[in-house]
Amino acid sequence: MEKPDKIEREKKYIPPGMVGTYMRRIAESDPFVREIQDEPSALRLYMDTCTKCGVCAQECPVYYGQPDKRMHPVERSRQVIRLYKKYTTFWGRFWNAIFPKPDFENNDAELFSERMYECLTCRRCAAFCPVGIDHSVVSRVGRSLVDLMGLTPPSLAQGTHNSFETGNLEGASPEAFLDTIQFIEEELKEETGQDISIPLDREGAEIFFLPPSGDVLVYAENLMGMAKIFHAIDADWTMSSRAFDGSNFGFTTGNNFSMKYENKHYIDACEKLGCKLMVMGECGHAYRVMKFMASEGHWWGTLPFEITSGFEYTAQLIRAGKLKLDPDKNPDSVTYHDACQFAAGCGIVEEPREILKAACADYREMPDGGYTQWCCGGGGGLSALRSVRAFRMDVSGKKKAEQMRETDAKVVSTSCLQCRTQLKEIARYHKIPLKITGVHELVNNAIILE
Amino acid sequence: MDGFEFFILYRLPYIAIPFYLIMLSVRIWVWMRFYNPAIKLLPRTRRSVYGVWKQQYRPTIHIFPGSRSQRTKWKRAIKGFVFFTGLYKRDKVLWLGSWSLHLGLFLVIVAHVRVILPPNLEPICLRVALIGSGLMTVSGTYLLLRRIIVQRVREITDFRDYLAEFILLFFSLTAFLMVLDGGISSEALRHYVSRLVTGTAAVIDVQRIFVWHMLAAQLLLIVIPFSHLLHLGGIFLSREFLGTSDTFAGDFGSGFSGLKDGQDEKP
Ligand code: SF4
Ligand code: SF4
Repeated sequence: MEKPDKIEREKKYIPPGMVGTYMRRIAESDPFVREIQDEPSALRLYMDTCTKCGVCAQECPVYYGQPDKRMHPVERSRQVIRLYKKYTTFWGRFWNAIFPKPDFENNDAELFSERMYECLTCRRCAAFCPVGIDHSVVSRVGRSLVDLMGLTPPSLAQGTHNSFETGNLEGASPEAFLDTIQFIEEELKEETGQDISIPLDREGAEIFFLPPSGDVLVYAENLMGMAKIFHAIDADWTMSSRAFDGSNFGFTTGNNFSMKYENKHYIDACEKLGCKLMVMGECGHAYRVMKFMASEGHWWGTLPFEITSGFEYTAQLIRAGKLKLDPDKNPDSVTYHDACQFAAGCGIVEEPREILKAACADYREMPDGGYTQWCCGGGGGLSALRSVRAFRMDVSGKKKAEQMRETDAKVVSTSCLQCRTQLKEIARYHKIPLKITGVHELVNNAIILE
Repeated sequence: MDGFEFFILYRLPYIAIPFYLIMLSVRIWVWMRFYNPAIKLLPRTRRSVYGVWKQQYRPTIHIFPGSRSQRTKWKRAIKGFVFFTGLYKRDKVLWLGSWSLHLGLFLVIVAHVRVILPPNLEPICLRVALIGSGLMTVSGTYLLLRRIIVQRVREITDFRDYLAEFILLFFSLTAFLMVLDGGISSEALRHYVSRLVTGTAAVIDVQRIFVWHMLAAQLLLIVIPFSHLLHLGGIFLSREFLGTSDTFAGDFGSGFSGLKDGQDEKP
């Protein structure tokens, strides 16, 4: 993979005193990902077209949890927009020359960083804003600046670094991966009595399966579900021992450079194996970047394979009657929590429901589900941050906790490692007796293999 | 005609109207320019403005997956623009307030067409103006009160926002009072417009309230480019630029580009 020198990347870091340099640069375009054309234009338009109606605050899970000015989406975006104006617009520069003001509130770059990570980038605001303003875009620009100042929360920075360097978040070696796969195969054998293999690095296979971050090393049931599906339809599939952890932390941290190159690991792996279809597992970030940015934006030219998500793939098989599922294997009532990146980011709403309805005896909707879901409170990378746990439990996750308490289902199924981690923590913290699962985990229970 | 009247009717329009047009054009140019910074790297972009636009619309990435079917896009844009469907789904009271304000504004603008209509349609036009300005006044008052009372709105409101809304209210109130007072005859209006166009000031037979209404209208033109009222101009462009027709129409059910081109209506 042609990867620019690491030094080049390091050179991007700027001290907080040089905020203007960055702001001017994003006004021009990010030299690493020129294709992200919507970002500066979105910022400009949002700057000018906000009607200041306050609807976004009414819909924002963070403001819901703590209704004060600091948590107001418009107020947060204003922090970024004022920097942008200050350094890139004529009037901004003019007024700054006459009445210079510090870049950040209280001249505190760390406070600014904290505030950028108080947005869950869930896009709920955009779904209800009368003029379609998406504060997640503005927060992401703010996070880019935070990243350039080297103030990204360490665990996210580490994850981004690992993904960039090794293609997986944990920085796990191919050997550790191979061991785990072997273990999963043994589990499958024990459970079904059948030889369900998880092919690795098989050149010329038709399907390349990219599991989401965590499905191999933490929540293997999802991967087992996928393996059973491929086995049931006798698919010609493979995974890669080099790219087995689909995620995108660069998207979360606003680091466009990482976002682009993290993605390349997966593309290279699929291309190298000569697969025709990339099926991506339950990670909305990775899928959104791959499908809607890298592929449609031709970041790496026209890709020689198609891209689909595990949800679309499985739902299609169910519709075609190719999978046999026994809903009685999942007898408890199940509801679905839409992961923001899948629902509001990629429009994948119907498919997980189709799957759950086929795989579970009793499916129930969660209020406001679908494109206008309430974020779990751990979106935008927050669930990976232990440092903001109190915020996640009492503020950003407050609405979700209420919804979980009110649901009459016994199981909450969801589709993202971050959501899953956060929902589990909410259930534990607020003492809500609910089980949290993945979607393909329930397919894993229900699938009938002949 | 005293000095105040002369200034408002025959001098200020030459400042306010060009100012508004220039400022709005500058905004639109900036939005266009910022649509795609990479445009500067493309060859032949200097040839024509149309060329720039055309290349800007080349399909690259969309951070926001939106519908790519032209039919769906238009359907949503019209639904969203005409009926504010997104807002309706969430906040019916606010929807009623803002939709009736915009409807009122539309009716007020339509009523001005009487300048070119036959005199027998005058009473209808005046009724339209009365309804329009009445709607604007009532809903404008509601929106202003909401801005003052509701915490999440007050928190993000600054002096310029209050000023803009006061001027808007002033504009609708003067229109309402003027029409209530019998309105201005089309003939007088035509006379005034022709004098304005030819640059020859003359006394016209109108009530004093007309002067105040003209003052409000011109102040409005001056503040629009600097206030939240600018969404009037930006709203069309933002949809097209950012491909977010989905959120605009509040139509969440279908049309994301998870499916292939041309089939983005989900079953
Ligand atoms: S909902 Fe949209 S227009 Fe209203 S205040 Fe929020 S960002 Fe501005
Ligand atoms: S993206 Fe989500 S968390 Fe961020 S401002 Fe919008 S609604 Fe709030």
